[in-house]
Amino acid sequence: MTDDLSRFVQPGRVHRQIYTDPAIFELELERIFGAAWIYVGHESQVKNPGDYFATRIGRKPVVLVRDADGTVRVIHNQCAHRGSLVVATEAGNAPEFTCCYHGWTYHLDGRLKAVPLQHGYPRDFDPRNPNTAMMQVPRVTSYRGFVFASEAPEGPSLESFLGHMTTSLDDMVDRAPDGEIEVAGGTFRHAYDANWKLYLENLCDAAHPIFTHRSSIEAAQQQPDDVFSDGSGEIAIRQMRQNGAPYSFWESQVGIWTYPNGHSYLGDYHDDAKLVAALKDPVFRDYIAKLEARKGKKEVQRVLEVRRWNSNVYPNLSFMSQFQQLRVVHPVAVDRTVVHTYNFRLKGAPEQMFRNTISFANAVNGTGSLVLTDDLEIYNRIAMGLGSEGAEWIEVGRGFESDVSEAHGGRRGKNSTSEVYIRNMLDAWVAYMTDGHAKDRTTGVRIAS
Amino acid sequence: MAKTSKTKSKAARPARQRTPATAGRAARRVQRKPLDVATCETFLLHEARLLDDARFDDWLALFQPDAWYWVPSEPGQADPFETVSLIYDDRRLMETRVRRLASPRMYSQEPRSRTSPWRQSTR
Repeated sequence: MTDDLSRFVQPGRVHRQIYTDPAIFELELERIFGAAWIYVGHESQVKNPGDYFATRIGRKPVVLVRDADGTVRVIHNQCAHRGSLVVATEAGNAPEFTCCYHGWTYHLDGRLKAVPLQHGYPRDFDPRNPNTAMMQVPRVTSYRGFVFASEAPEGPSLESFLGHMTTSLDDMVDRAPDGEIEVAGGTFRHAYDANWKLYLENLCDAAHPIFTHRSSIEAAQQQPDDVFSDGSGEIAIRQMRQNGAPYSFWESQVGIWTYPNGHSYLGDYHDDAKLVAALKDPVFRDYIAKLEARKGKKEVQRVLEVRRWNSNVYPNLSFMSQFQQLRVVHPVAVDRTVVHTYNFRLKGAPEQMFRNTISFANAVNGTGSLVLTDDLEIYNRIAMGLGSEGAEWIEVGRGFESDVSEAHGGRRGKNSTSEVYIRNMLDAWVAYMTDGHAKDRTTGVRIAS
Repeated sequence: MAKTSKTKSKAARPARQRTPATAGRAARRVQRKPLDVATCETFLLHEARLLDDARFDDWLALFQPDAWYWVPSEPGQADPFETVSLIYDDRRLMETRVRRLASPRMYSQEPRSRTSPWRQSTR
């Protein structure tokens, strides 16, 4: 007896099993990470021919590389000989890739270049066979420098997949006076012992900070308002205090917008005036002047009025334009997830802006963060709690009866406390997992009861 | 956000910013006299004992108001401005970190981390 996977998601609730069942996790890797557009990296990480960045699509190791012609490729990080991982360092520059096992060598675009002892192979062995290569991921496309790849040879275009979320990616780039951004400032890597879906499900959760982050909120509230030392501590303290905003704030001033394919963003949250004392600040005034010199007053006003907090592109990307943060979710096992976080430099902006980005990253995405550590604890506790097999269905119904339709095929909450973004991701989950044919598609997985 | 004047003065004195957190009275003594290994040892043992005993307010009192506590994220990291750090706390963030440790709602520290297997947290 098999069960239709769409049965795991019901209006306003989800079955606990999709967070704990290893068989469902394997299906997710195939049907979601093996089909959707997955964020791989940014073009600034591979500026020159030979530059590479080793990462993963789902659990599959791949290499983002700029080949000899300047084309950005994503190739499988697997030697065609005995299957060894070829590129073991995270980033660098190489004229070619050589496997450390028997020396098979590959062009930057993944084609086989040289095979030691080639005369020993059968006569029909063809080193030009496209399947004897570090094989290319079939579809690779950039949107304004953000590189996505899809393992599905056919499917919707990247722009169609992103839909209205292109405007969030635009916001990352439009804030740079020179119109370009680049990855800089190192990487934070953190891990937790729970399901990958929980990460994006938390990033637009406006109802948790006042509770989960209470220890850092109360500690930060004891600090005075004035600028101290070089100001980096202020950015952290402001952020921690902001987490303590009362429910009335989240219900009146902040919104949550969701779009097809599981994407969403939290908006109208931190305007620059709240976080960096923007208009009084000489660095920010200098920044605005530089922006206006390049883009004109009207365009700058438009850019700065885009007030988005976290934007989530399902299933593996979350970013935040006001402090140029980007996080990539790597599923490792049903109960193990790794997240890498990156910073972007706004080209042409005052140097202090990037220092603020670094300070914000330390406070919010850092391994020693006073904030993130409590989020990671929540994920771990969810995994442990679900293991008790108490309540079978998990509630994700807050705001269900007051959500409204939105332009661009979207749906938004009455206010930011709606869990509409979780329901929206679960709708996408059902669509991917059933290939849009929920009624016909059955699997060996069934609801336990 | 730093005021411009602050930023400039920092840029002019990067070496000072890079100095890891140093202790109050001990640091002042060090400036006057040549480095004395025994004094340093005594101080470090004292600091370690305060941490082992979870006497974090007393530990905090070892630091001057302009102290920084810096844990770089990369080996050989040149500075805390261009690259993220595991910890880059000015004195107020150090205070905030210590005050958070006193909170009964610090969920990621249940049970509390210890720096010594022998000594019990006093909190």
